[in-house]
Amino acid sequence: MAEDKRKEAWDSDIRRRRRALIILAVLIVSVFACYLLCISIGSSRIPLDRVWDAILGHPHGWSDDMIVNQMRAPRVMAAAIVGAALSLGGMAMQALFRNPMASPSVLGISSGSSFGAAFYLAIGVSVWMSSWGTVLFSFITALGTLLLVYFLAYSKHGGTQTTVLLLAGMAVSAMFSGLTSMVEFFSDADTVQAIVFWMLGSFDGMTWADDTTMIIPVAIGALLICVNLRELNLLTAGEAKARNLGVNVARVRLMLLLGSALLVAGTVAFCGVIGFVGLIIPHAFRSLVGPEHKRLAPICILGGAIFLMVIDTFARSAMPPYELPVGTVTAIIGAPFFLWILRSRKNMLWRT
Amino acid sequence: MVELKVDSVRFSHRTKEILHGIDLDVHDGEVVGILGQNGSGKTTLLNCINTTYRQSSGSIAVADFSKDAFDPRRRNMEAVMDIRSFSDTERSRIVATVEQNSNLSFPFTVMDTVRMGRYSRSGILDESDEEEMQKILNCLEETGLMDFASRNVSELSGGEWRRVMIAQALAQEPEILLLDEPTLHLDINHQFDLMDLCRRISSRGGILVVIVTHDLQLAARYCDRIIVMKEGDIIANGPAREIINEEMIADVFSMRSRVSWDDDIGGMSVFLIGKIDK
Repeated sequence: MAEDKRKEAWDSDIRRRRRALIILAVLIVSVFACYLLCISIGSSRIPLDRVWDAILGHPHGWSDDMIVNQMRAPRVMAAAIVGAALSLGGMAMQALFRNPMASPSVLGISSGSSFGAAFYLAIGVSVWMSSWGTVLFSFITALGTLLLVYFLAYSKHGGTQTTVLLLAGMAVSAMFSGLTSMVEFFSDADTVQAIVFWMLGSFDGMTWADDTTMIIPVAIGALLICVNLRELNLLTAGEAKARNLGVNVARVRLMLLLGSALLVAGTVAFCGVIGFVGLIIPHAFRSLVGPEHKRLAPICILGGAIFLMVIDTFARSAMPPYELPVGTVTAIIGAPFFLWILRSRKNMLWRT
Repeated sequence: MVELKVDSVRFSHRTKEILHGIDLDVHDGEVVGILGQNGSGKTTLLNCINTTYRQSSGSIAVADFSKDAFDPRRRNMEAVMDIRSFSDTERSRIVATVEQNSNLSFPFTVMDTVRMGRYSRSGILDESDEEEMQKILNCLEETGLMDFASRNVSELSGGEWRRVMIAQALAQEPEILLLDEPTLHLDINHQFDLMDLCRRISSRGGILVVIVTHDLQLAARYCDRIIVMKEGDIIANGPAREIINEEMIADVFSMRSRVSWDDDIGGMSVFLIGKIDK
């Protein structure tokens, strides 16, 4: 009898693990399929076999080569990287803040980061124009904002109260939008237009060079988070408890904050603010595979990549000849989702 | 064989001194009960022992004469180690704490929650090891949680959750197990189940169980050694039979009581009559 129960418990654990693996396998296949499909779809549709040939280096004519390899592929790739980065960052923040509402845009990290980038666009251009400058400035302000919100909203025991978290995020967001407006006010018309367009959040005009630059901070950030996946599990029990279980909380927290800031800054510096991805994806997949971060993280990365590739393709091909900025589309989808979570957690929100 | 030595520990919060020089020397095989009113410094002492708080003076040390908890290189040098000289990981192999209030922000399964206790003992890739799995299952079995293994912790009752936390602490394979008010908010049945569990863990040997509680009856019944705290001092320390008596209860808790040795249960029996009017 006791043996049976042991076996049953064991089997159910293995089943859960296997289920996560199957979902992971499906997502891996879907990522590649999505990549090809999203390249194929657009104002001029290119059949999949021609996309395939062009990617392999045997394009049917130079226009295929141009559209596939120079225009769409780097753009779709950028969407995939940003989607993966934002959802991994959102997942890490939710564990760190012990709150499923935490995400780069809700906490104001994206606003902070975009202020840094705008500031650089306005003043830095004449000094040292390089995408690295934008990344650096976004990173500094992203990290600053993250630390600010963290110490504003975090209480050592019992995690972060949703109300405090949202209010802190809102206030910080407002402050940085104000600062960004200030930068715009003092800039000439061309710079303002550049800032405004970039702030909307868009993958328009992304090149392979941008992609390779962006992948560096994103990869470092992802690495900092992925070496701490077990620690993320323990942190959801609170920092004091995690410490009692053997986690070096100070070190892990620093790595996670740095990692999240790098993920957000790396993406914001190139594509502007694309909100709610970091909220929707971890939330959706957590309800599918559970909160165990070793299983959740790879699924979030792939899920985020697929999500943003699809959304961006929709944004650029839904209303030809216009291209919608992808940030507005994610906001339109994400905000109701956000409200829905808020509503389902309403009773928890108002507890003392 | 493990021994916990607390030597003149003082702890202050801001300007208020909460512990006024605590001395304590307890070893494994005993169930130690720390008794006292709210605010007497019981939990603070516990948090000093597990290093959540840093004492303002004094030292807390563990002496170990057997297992693998200490780094062998260090053990050869010294058998008594200050608890603060360990890294977080090393310390969590020696001391496990079941806190009064703890919760998880996300709905982990019971299995995954207990597995968190293995953090300091296993690598990130050992998770599906047969041996690891058996250890986790043993902890579940010992705490009677086998039927709940794949349940979400958010669906558990208070008593079940408390047992999950104990299973998690056992998964650390600690030498010292600290429990802060383990029976709080539990119904009578679960209170006794839980104390029976503590006794079982202790009788297995090699583990010192320290229970902080204000429940006189349970402490009298289940603890071998009783330590009574009042306003940040230890005012009594000794075998339950000697310490628990009507005068002590009147002095510390301002309660009239009847205390007797009960042969049926093999422990002290405390009957509280009512409050003493000052």
